Amino acid sequence: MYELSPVIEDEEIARRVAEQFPEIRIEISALNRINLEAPHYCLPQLAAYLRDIEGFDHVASVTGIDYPDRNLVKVTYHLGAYAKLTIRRLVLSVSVDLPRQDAMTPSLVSIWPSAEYHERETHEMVGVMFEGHPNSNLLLLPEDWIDLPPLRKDFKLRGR
Amino acid sequence: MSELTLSVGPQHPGSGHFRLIICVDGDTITKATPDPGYVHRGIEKQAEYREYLHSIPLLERPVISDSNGSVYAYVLAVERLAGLKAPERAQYIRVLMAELNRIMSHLYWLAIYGIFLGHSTMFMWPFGDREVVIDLAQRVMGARLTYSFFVPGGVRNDLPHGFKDEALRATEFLEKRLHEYDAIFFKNPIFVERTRGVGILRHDDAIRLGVVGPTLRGSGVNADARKDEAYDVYDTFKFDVPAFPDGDCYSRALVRLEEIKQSIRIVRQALESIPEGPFRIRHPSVLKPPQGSVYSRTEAARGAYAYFIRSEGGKTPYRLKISSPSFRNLLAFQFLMKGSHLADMPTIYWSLDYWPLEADR
Repeated sequence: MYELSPVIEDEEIARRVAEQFPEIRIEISALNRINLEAPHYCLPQLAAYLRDIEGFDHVASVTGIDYPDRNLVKVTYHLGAYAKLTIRRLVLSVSVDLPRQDAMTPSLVSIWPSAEYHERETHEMVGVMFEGHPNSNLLLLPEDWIDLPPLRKDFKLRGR
Repeated sequence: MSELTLSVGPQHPGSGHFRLIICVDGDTITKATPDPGYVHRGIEKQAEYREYLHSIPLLERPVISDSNGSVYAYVLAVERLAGLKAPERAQYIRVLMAELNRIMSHLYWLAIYGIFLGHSTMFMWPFGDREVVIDLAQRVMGARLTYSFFVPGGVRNDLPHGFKDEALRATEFLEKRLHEYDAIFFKNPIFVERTRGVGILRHDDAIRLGVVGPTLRGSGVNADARKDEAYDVYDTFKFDVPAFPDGDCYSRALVRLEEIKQSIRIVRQALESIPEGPFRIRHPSVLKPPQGSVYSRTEAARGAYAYFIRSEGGKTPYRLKISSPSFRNLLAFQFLMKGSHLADMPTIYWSLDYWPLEADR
C-alpha cells in the first residue's frame, strides 16, 4: 500500500512544509504524528497548502488549552486524511499560540467545513474568537450562560 | 406555501435529549439545525480534577452501549504518556471485549431502527439477541454495560474458565440469527423502500464533512482506525472493512450488519490465538506521567473515537479533549435532512446512530 516507508514519508512531508513555510516549527513526535507550531497569521495559507497539496481533507478535533502562567491560549487542530490512502494513518496537528486576553485566530471553516462545530465548541468552552466563523452562538452550553468559558483555568468547579 | 418552523425534541421519542430545529415547506424539510447540549456534563473539565485511573468510569458514561469503545483510546493514550505497555494477553482480551461491545452496540442500533421504522419484530429480535452478548460480557467484566474494565497496563480481570466455549457458542448463535435478520429485515420490501435512496451522503460530501464510522463507510470510504493505524493486536487478525458506495440509509444499515460479521470473525481468531500470560502489568496506582501531549484514536462502534491529553507532569491531566464520533457526525444532520420528506426524518436521524450523550460529553 505504501510507496515509501511511513517514517520516510513523514520526514518528506515535514521537509516540504518547512520549505514552504520557514516560520513554522515542525516536530515528528511519534510514528504517525506530525506536529506543527505556526503563527496565527499564516494559518489560512498553511491550511490551504495542507489540504490541497498534502491531502489532509478533514478536521478531526480542535482543542483549546489555557495557560494562565504563560498568558496564552493554545489552539490545536488535529487533521486527518480519508481520500489519500497513504496518509490515512497520519494525524497532523497544527497549533497556534494566542494571547489570553484577546484570543483571536482566523476560522478555517472555509477551508475545512468539518471544522465548524469543533471551532464553535472551542469558542464557547475556551473563549477563542474564530474570525469569519459562520455561527458563533453557544452550542453545548445553556443559552443564558454568562460565566467564564468553562475550560479556562480560572473557572473552578465548585466543591473541588 | 409558507414555511413552518418545528422544534423536534428535546423529548423526541427515541432521539435522546437532543433537539432538531426544522423548517418545513409542506412536507419538505428546507432547513435542519441540530441543537445539542441538553446532556452536556463538562466531562472534559471534570477529568482535569481526577487522577488518570479515576477518570475511566466517568469517560465511559457518555456511551453506555459501547463503553469499552469509548475508553479504549483513553487507556492507550495514558499508556503512551506514562510509558506503559499492556501484555499481549491483555491486548487480546481488550480486542475481544471491544468487538463484543461493537456487536452489542450495533444490535441495539438495529433494534431501535426497528422502532423508528415501525417494525416491532425488528425491535424484539436484536434486543433479545443482544442479551446473549451482554451475558458473555458480564461473565468477564462483571457488569452489563459500564465495565471500567480497560485500565492502563492491561485489563482488570482474566477471562473466566470455559469462556472460549461459551463465546464460540454465542458467535454461532449470532451468525445464524444474522442470516435471519438478512431475510426478514434487510430483504424486507418495506425496510428497503423506507431506507434505499433516502438521506444520500455522497463520497465527496462525506469526506468534506469529516464524518466517521458507519456513516463514512456507508458513503464508500473504507477508513477504519483498526486498519489505518492498527492499535494493540488488531494487525494480527484478518478482517474486512465493509463499505458501500450508495451513501443512503440502506448502505449505512448494511455496513453495520457486515461489521457484526467481521467482529465475529475477529472474536473467533482472537479466541483461537490468545496467548497465555499476565493480563495486567504492575504499576503505581497513582500515575504521574511526564510532561507531554498524546493524541490517540480507536475505532469505536460509532466511528473514530479520539483523545488528546496534555500532561504537565501532575497526577491529573492538564487538559483532556474528547473527539467523539457523534459530535463529528452532527454536520451530517444539516446536510442530509435538507430537501428530504418530513416522514423520512426519523429514518435519517437514526441511520447516523447519533448518541446525544456522546456528542455533548
